[in-house]
Amino acid sequence: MLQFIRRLIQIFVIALLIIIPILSLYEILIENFRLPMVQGRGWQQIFDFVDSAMRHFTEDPVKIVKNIKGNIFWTITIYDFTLSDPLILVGHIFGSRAFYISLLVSALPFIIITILFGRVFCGWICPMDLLLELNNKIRRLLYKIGLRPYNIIFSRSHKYALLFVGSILTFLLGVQLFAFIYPPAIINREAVHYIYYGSVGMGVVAIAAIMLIEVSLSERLWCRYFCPGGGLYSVLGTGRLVTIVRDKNLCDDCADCNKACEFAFNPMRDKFGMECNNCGKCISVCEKKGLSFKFSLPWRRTKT
Amino acid sequence: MENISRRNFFRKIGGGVITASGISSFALLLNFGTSYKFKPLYHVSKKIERMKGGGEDFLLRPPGAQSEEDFLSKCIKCYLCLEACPIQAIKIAGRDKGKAADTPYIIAENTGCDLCFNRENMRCNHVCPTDALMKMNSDDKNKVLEDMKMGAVLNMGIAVLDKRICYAWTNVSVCWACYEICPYKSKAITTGLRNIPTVHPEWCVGCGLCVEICPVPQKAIVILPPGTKMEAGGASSDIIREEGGKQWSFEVDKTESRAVPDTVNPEDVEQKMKEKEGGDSWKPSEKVDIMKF
Repeated sequence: MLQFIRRLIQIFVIALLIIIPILSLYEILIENFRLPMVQGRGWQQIFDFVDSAMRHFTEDPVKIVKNIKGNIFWTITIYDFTLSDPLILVGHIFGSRAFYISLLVSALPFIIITILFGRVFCGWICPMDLLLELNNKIRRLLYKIGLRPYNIIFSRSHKYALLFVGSILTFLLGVQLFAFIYPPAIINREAVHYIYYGSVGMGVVAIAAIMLIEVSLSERLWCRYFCPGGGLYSVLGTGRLVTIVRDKNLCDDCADCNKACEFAFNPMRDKFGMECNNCGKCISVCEKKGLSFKFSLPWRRTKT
Repeated sequence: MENISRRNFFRKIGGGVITASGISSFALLLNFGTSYKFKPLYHVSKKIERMKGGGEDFLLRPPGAQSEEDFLSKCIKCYLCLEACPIQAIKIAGRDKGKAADTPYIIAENTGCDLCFNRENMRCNHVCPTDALMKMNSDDKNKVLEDMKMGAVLNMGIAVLDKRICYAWTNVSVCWACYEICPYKSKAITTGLRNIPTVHPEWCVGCGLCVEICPVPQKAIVILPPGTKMEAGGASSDIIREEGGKQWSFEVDKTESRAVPDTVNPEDVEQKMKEKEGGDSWKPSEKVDIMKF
């Protein structure tokens, strides 16, 4: 059930990736009376469908649609309410060497969520997580067939180092570098560009390269070892309030949870650390129901 | 990963710095940015651009951008301005622009910026999540124009008239299209005898509408980067034919042009007619598409 809800959220958010640019392009076309001039038959049908759907709700769809812009992975604006990724805030502080308060306010919801629940953006919202989990299933399929793909293990602190070096380079060069290498931002950009101008760029190649490397060389390479955004979320979620806790009386040491864990942690021995993305896979796998989410204050926790 | 002890944590960071800097420099070199290419409707060859003084690296930024350096350090490449632009004037710089890859810019030859004067506010800078584009209110038209004129922080660029090829100045035809479209009409562009236009850069906001509408294929009017040193007074800033000098010859690269050629080769038409025997109406070739942009 938990996994079902998580998948539902992920698919809904990926749908937003396509729906929001189509809606905002639709608004532009309506505003300029260019709806009948759309290139391509498929696109024409899509926009006709959007038009007929919107007319059911309001007579003036432009008024509603023009206030919704962006994508939830990087930044989104709905009726002057903006949500941004905390990585934008870090990059902006280092890049512009100044502090912009409305950007802080727009990044605050995600910061607060991360402080309370840990690295949940990665596990529940990020589109890369869904893509790479499917990718991981291909990898397990290869194992079943008998092919044994490599699994190179890097140090997990690479992502903090990447965050650190990226901030320093942003400061020195005066260019927002995180936007170049952060996959959710790349996916967001390519989708918008494809819908608006019908072309995609190198970002798709970069994402395909990450996926190929993960299938062949290293399991969940990007999220485990290199993602600077994941590093930032891990740092923010160090003192999280909601953690996964194991009931020692129920556990029978079957190690199913260890196999299920995407991040190769050790839930059977309570070893999560601050990088757990609270995806709950170990909870749904456990047959004895020995694992569960628990609310506890970080300084009252007993260390194992 | 187990709980990392604090001491180990910092030690491991030191170890990871080398790999990380390798990856980030790789990303910078490869410039994970995109490889989109937008061509102006009429491809003006780079030679002419250089002759006119407009650098190849100059990108006309959306309204609200301050200096180029400032804009680059603040733009997070989220494409919100591209989504919001009601006339789709905002395009995205490709990988060949280096540092400026993935940032928004305007190709004035295709679509100039109309500064959203007939709308309630400027869409691109109202939607910008950072202060890369400063928020401007387009209710007070004169105040916006005052904020964006030459020398101001928010100036987009400076228009310069090339009198060597302007239809009005070379007596090819009567034309005052740039005067009519200019948002700062009769201040930034004035007309004189026979409606010959004159550009006054000290009032120019750099929106690029005059470039878009100019009927000369090579564009007799160009936008130069803001901060280009110019004397107020109009005539001194224009490109004037040197006295006694050679008339410039301009190459227009029609192969890269997406627009319809203005002349049709009669031999081609005859060939088409021969291919289509019995067909009484000649259709234009499929290669020519007007609506592509």
